[in-house]
Amino acid sequence: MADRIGEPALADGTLALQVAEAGVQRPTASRWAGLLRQRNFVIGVVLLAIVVIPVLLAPVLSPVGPDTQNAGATFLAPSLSHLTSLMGTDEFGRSVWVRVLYGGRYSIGASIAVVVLGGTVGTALGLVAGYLGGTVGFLIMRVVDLLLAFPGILLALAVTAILGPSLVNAVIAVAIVAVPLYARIVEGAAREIRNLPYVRASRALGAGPRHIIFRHVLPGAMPAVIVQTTVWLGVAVLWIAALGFLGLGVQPPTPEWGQMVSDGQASLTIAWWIAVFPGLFLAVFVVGISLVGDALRDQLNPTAVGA
Amino acid sequence: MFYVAKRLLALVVLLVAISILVFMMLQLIPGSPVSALLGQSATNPAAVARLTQELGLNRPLPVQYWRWLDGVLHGNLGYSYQNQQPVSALIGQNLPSTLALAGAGLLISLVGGILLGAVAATRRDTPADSVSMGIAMTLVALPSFWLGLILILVFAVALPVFPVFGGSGLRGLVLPAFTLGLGVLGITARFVRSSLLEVMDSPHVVAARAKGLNRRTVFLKHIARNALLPVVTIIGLQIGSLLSGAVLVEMVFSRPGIGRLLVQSILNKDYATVQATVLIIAAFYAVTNLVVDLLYPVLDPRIGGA
Repeated sequence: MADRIGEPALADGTLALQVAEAGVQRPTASRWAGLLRQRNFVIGVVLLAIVVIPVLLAPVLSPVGPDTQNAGATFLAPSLSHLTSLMGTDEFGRSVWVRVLYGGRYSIGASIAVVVLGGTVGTALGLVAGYLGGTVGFLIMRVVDLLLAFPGILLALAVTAILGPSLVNAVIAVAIVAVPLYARIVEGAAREIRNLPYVRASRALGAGPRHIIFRHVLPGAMPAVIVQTTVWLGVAVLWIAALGFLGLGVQPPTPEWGQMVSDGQASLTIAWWIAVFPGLFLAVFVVGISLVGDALRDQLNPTAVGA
Repeated sequence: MFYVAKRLLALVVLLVAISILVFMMLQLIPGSPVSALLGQSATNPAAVARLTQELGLNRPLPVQYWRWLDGVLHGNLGYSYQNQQPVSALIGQNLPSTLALAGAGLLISLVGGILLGAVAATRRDTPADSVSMGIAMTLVALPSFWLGLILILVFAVALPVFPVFGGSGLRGLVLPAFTLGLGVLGITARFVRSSLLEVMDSPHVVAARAKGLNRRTVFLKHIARNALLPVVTIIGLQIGSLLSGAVLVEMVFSRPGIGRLLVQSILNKDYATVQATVLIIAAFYAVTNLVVDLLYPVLDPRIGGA
């Protein structure tokens, strides 16, 4: 017990939640709990739709471009009279509504890139370490441990310090934080699956490691990977936005939710809407993802394999 | 005792590995470490020659590392040419403020998280439970830098109770500490709820109820005492979240601290300070995690020397 708790893997809140949830062994899965789970999933999907659909339809819903300035209409308060000023305008007279929609494309796009990049590399490393084991596996897992010893954002900040601030570098930095988390989960699952009877049978029949990894180990580890990916979509969008907010991610004038919040902070006392709306979209997106991720975790129950 | 020795040894290995990684950071930055460290002053050939000599850059990498580590262990964390100050002095000025913020944040997250988790657990599977857990989840999901601005809007602009930015002393600490603590509170609440539910279903609680003890006594003496002990273990996890959160909170509130120092030195390409801050935060995190781990068996004798 003490050893498990000591793992620095849990630095990150999402993993702590997974542990917290795993601790609950419900004696009877009551009907109410099932309904609740379903309801949470539906709420999550609805919240995601509220954010993602307008973001996808940005060109259709935008009367002006995200960078279109209007010197005669700066700091307009939000009003329903015109779509351009639905969420007000900023210090250059740019439409906050339009920038929030286009900003979502960068924020959400970047977080998808993070999970694809981090998930692929982490899963590959985890498979190699867990299935093949040996010296290579040992070395991979020690590097994973070392990376996990840094509180997440510190690692991302250190990477951006080396690479320099930009959207691509922010994606790489956050992906590097995700890699060890994926690797650890997949490694655990792979090590366990490797010794299951049907895998041993397959090996006895002459199946090579490539066949076993892709036919047996990877599908077995998939539920854990899927849950991790859902959770990480939310974490990644928060961190990309955090780096943007700190001036270490997307550079102006490109709109991105975090960078927009930072933009609006300067004029917070005279024009609250510039900072509030991008953050609100970000928050709704992350809450939606968390609800969906929770429901998926209960459904797929990855702890049955991984833990 | 063997367990403690093993963990201490593991900590030393970890600290050495962290220091190697942090040392390598400077090697990974494009351009020579000397120009990275000197920044603007890199055009001065005399300064370049002096620093090259000082860092022993004409020597092999392991020797350079050893000299650097020797310096670090003697309190020499390098010199910030941008700030014209030794980095150790910069860290010394900024550390107390971050520790105060993180400590206050931890307190808020523990008190709030235990209350919220207890409300949820004692009303399991009722609307009160779902509302509490909904609040917990939302708090985890909210971007802390945005939450900070909302708190400023409400409690400093609309109701001018607290200073907008900065502000020293306790009054200036309230909003930043709540911003930081609220984010972590959600995690604590969910953990407390699971922990309470686990104990509530155990035989000794059923027995206590069967004896006819009132609910209050059962909850306080038989459930809470056992269930809240594991909460100590998540303090270790929370220190990571608090340190990460402090970076953002310090930037939102323009509050001096290690996090803000780190971000500003990244933006200013002040690599000596970046290196030292990363090293200090990572080492602090590793040590506090070990302390929490070692403390747990002391608090809960059932865990023993595991």
